[in-house]
Amino acid sequence: MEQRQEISDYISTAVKYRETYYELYDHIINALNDSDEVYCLNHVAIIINRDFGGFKNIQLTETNYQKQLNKKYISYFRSEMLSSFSYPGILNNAMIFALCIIIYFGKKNQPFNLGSMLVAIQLSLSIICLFGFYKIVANRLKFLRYSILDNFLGYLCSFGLVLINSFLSVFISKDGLFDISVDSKLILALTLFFFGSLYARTFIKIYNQKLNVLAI
Amino acid sequence: MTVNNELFKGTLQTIILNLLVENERMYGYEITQKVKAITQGELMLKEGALYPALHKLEADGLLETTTEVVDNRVRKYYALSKDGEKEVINKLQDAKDFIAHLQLLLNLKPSF
Repeated sequence: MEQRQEISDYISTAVKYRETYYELYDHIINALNDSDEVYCLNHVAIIINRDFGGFKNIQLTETNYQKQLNKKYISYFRSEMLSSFSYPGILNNAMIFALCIIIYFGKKNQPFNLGSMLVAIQLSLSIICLFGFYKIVANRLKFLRYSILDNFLGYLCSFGLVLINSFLSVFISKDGLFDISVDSKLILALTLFFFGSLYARTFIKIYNQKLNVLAI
Repeated sequence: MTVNNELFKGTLQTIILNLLVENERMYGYEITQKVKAITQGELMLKEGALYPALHKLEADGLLETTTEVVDNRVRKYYALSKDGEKEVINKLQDAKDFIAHLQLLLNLKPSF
């Protein structure tokens, strides 16, 4: 037990993410179990150099792995968003779009309180953002180590909120960079509502199907 | 005689995929030992060649991963995805073609 703790402490200094740590730790324990030599920490260092090319190589592998996974999950996200425009996902989009049309033509000639709609969009995207960061922090505390996908999760959960707030501050807010008509503001708010809804649905789907399964 | 590992680098992904056809799921260390056993110790997956190849195959969607707690430690298993099952056929054919061309180029007689 003490030996295992020593090995764990030794490799903990070099690896950043829990996926790499688990894989490295399991490999070392297996290699030591198969070895006839008496345990010593030097033997662990030899295994790391022999089978992994040293700590520097492990860190390089971690970086590359993270880049590859980020690329993979961004591609998943993109294809999930696009697939919502084909059957049966398009039914949800059609309903949201119909709702936008009804709001637009219903309120076109009447004053419309954009504020409540914008607050609702921001609130729903803030919940996603908070959920994502809560998961990152909770898993960090639980497993004592970040996941290799936390970077992607952080990026994904904050992406919608950052994008929506950028549009709000540039086009819709009173101090915005562009002064646009009320009608244009309504169209923009409805567009944000539509894409905000699409983003939220895609996030939930990706999280449940792809990211959640990685939690050990 | 020890086999030059450089010669195998280009076919490492094919080797991994083919091993996973025969074994439903495998973990990293198991793969290294299997390769060692099949080649009677002539080929050793060293210098961190295996895990980058596994990660690349996983990122490309050819492998799926699952984790399991074994003997109080987390073990990551790799298995072929549906895309991987299709791709392994192409990769094996590419490897066979390459070996055939290599035999022609180097005037080697097939040993089988």
